[in-house]
Amino acid sequence: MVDEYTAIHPNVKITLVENPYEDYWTKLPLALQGTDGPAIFNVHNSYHENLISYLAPYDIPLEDLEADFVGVSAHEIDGNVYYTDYGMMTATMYYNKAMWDAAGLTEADIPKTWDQFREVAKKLTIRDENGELVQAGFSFNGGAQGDVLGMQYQYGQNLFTEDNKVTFNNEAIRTVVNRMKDIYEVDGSGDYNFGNNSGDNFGQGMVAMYLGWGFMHNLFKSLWPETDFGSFEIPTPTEDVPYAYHRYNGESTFGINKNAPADQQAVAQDIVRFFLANDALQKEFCLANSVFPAKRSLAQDEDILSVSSIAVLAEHIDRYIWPGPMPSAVENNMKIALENIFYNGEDVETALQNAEDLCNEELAMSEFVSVEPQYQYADEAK
Amino acid sequence: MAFVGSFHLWNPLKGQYRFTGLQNWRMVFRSSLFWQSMGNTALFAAVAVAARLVIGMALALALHTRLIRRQSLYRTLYYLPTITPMVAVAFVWKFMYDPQFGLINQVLGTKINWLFDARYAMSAILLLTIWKDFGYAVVILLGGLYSLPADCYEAAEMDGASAIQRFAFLTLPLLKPTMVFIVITSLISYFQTYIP
Repeated sequence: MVDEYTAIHPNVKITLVENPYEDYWTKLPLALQGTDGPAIFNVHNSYHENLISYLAPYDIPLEDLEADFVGVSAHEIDGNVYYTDYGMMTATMYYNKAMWDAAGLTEADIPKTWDQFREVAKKLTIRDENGELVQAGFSFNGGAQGDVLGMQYQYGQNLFTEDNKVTFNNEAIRTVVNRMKDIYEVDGSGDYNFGNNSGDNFGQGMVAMYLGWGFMHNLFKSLWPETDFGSFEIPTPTEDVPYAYHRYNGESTFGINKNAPADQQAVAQDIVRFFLANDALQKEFCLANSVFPAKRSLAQDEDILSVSSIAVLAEHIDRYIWPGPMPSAVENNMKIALENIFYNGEDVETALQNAEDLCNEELAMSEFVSVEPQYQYADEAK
Repeated sequence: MAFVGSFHLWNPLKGQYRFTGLQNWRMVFRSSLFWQSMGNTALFAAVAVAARLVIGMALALALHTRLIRRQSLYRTLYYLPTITPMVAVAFVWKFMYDPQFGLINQVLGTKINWLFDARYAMSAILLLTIWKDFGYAVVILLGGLYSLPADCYEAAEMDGASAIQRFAFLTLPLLKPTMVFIVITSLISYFQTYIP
């Protein structure tokens, strides 16, 4: 992108600085506090709170952005947009094609509902003569918090209350967690101790179905190229279209340093426009991260839709919700709750309530504001 | 600085430094997770320090006798885990603890999920820690043993003291400063391992 931009603007010199991912999010805000921070930089919405006070608003009219990109309104702050999404990543069900065929399943067996999913998972489960699990039909070991925090939307339940408190101990999440327990404990389609990382275990051929986020697509391709897999959309409680299928998280467009010299800011604004207007770049970025394009003109792009984990989202992409730049406390506390339920035998209600209380204590010190009310189907929520 | 910071809502990354009084302290002391973590950390530190000291002493004594040949080889072998980067150690031990393919379950003939089963997780982490750290105590105690005055031991032998008596009444008291050093440095290190 830098080369393309400087080719048409030879008077502009851009120094590209790369940092290890984790270091970057510490170094960047510290650099932005000074006068010699980068004029334009990568943003991830999970670091929103640390970055927003250093960002300059885009000088693109809001309505122009909204005309070209979905989800812009969720990024609006007092009429300004400081960054938006170029792509949307969410949870997709991955399945091992060889195991699918071996179980006698066909495309027609792709499950739409959770009840159908459980039946398919049973068929994909293999045990030896001693009853020991050899192949799990489904596994969520090692990362179920990412799955659970999103499935409550299928029941019309938002993750946050109107006063920005998190709600874990509600009927929807209890239903989701109990279903996960039942898949293991009642159906026997998996086991808490059958592998500790369901994503890795899927790639290694231990697990037939795995609910993972979009980035796993490229990871599977690079780490386990011999594993032939497909994707289908996350099942729902009934065949009706739910309030939302799951939550998504955006891959963010660039941020502009409001403390940078005026001439650098002007170039940064121009680079942002160049990036947003360039469909080839947008496509390249979306394919590199296996995300559904936020740019409306790319929604039906053949190359993008040839990626199975993206293609399955196309029909209902408007039914995925972004709750906002959630602090890490939300996932961390849900992770603790699920470990206590799955591994320490704590009852579902107690574990969820404890996690909810702890999380809300942490959220009280945060400036997080949920954008669930800005979801286009927000009025359908319970 | 950290103590003063504990009375503030402090996020250097966004330049936030707001006085909140005792709010952070109240939150911590009210949290059952904090007390559980402190209990787990104290148990972890106590067992790890004791094991480090006992194993370190036993191996240092063994290496100090004239019966052991190639002492420098053993010293190197025992110290090797201590200087191995923790990332590499964690990676290898994670594989060893794997419930399906792990070496430990293969050897023991068990099917334990060592790192996820609450009954075994603490023992698993302790075993790794003790393996990684005992070499430090061996080297320090061996240095202490070499510096002990030989004339005291000759006098004790002439007085008819047994090996156990020489260990209990000479070696242990004379090595006390070395052992105190190991205990204090170990406690500092292990209490930084905050275990929820």
